[in-house]
Amino acid sequence: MALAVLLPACSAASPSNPAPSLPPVPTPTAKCSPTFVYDNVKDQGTALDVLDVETAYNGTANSAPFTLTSSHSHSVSIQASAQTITRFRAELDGGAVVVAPIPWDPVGYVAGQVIYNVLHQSNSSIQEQASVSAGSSITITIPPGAKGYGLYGIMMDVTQGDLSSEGCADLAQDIPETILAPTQYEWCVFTEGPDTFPEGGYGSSSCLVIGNQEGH
Amino acid sequence: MNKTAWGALAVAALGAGIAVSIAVGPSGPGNGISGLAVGTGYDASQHVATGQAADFAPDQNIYVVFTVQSRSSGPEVEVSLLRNGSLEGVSLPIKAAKGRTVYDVPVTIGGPGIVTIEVSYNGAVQQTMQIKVG
Repeated sequence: MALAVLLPACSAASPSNPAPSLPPVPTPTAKCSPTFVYDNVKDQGTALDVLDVETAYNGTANSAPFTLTSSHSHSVSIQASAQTITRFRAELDGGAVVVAPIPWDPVGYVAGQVIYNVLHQSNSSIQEQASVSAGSSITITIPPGAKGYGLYGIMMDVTQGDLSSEGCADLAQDIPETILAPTQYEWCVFTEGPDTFPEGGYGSSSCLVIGNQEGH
Repeated sequence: MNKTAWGALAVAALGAGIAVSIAVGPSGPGNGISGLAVGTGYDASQHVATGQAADFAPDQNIYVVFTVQSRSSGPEVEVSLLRNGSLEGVSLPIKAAKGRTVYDVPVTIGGPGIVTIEVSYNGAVQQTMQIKVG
């Protein structure tokens, strides 16, 4: 019965009897533009993102001032990690600074803007991007026979919260994220020696760090 | 704790850069550090510092030996070095085992002077001694 009904309709397509209008072609849906929300924010303090390490050795018999000068330039933006942040005291092993790397992910522009707006309300020093430059210097006093260390980098504000998106079903919702937001460049300095721990240790003062550039 | 567990503890401690040995003496009731000694070597079988002295030569390798008594595992023990009252450095923290354990921490001493050695238990200095270098 259905065929009998349809065939006359098809045969009726002629110049004198134009075909009925075609069904509308679905138009492509607009590219999904999620709305990000960063909430349930918990302050986790600050830590230095080390971008340069400078050292000096005092081979004289007296304490003396030494100037450390940075040799690298770099910029840091807002970053995220699905891992819970652990800050580290910068460790010394055989005279070298050891910083445990943590895998960080870049945050997209839109999400970064939302995070920046949220965090900037409570901490006006937070920036979307901060830089260190070669040529920055700091002077420290190093005891005789000791080594001085200068960790140069960006102080990062560390928070933990839920970064969620609305409007795109394929995006994960309410992902707990640790967010690193840059504030300003800083030096953290300390000395070690002349007596040392050959199996590793720390210097005369603590530098809380989140990782070195190689770990990013 | 059985031998396997002690072995795992020793491996973990060595991985953290700290040598460890197990004392066989009875456990007492208190927590803390005792028996601080410094020598030019460490006898792992007797759990004692060998070549104990108060004077050492510059650039010599020495061993700081002490006993940790703890009723629970996990207290943090650190060795600090000072010259003229100024902190020179701090050892990697030791997560002490439950019971009575002898630890040895190697130190490379520098030039002439008086070195103060402090051993702290959960941040509180409990044992101190001075050595003369040169």
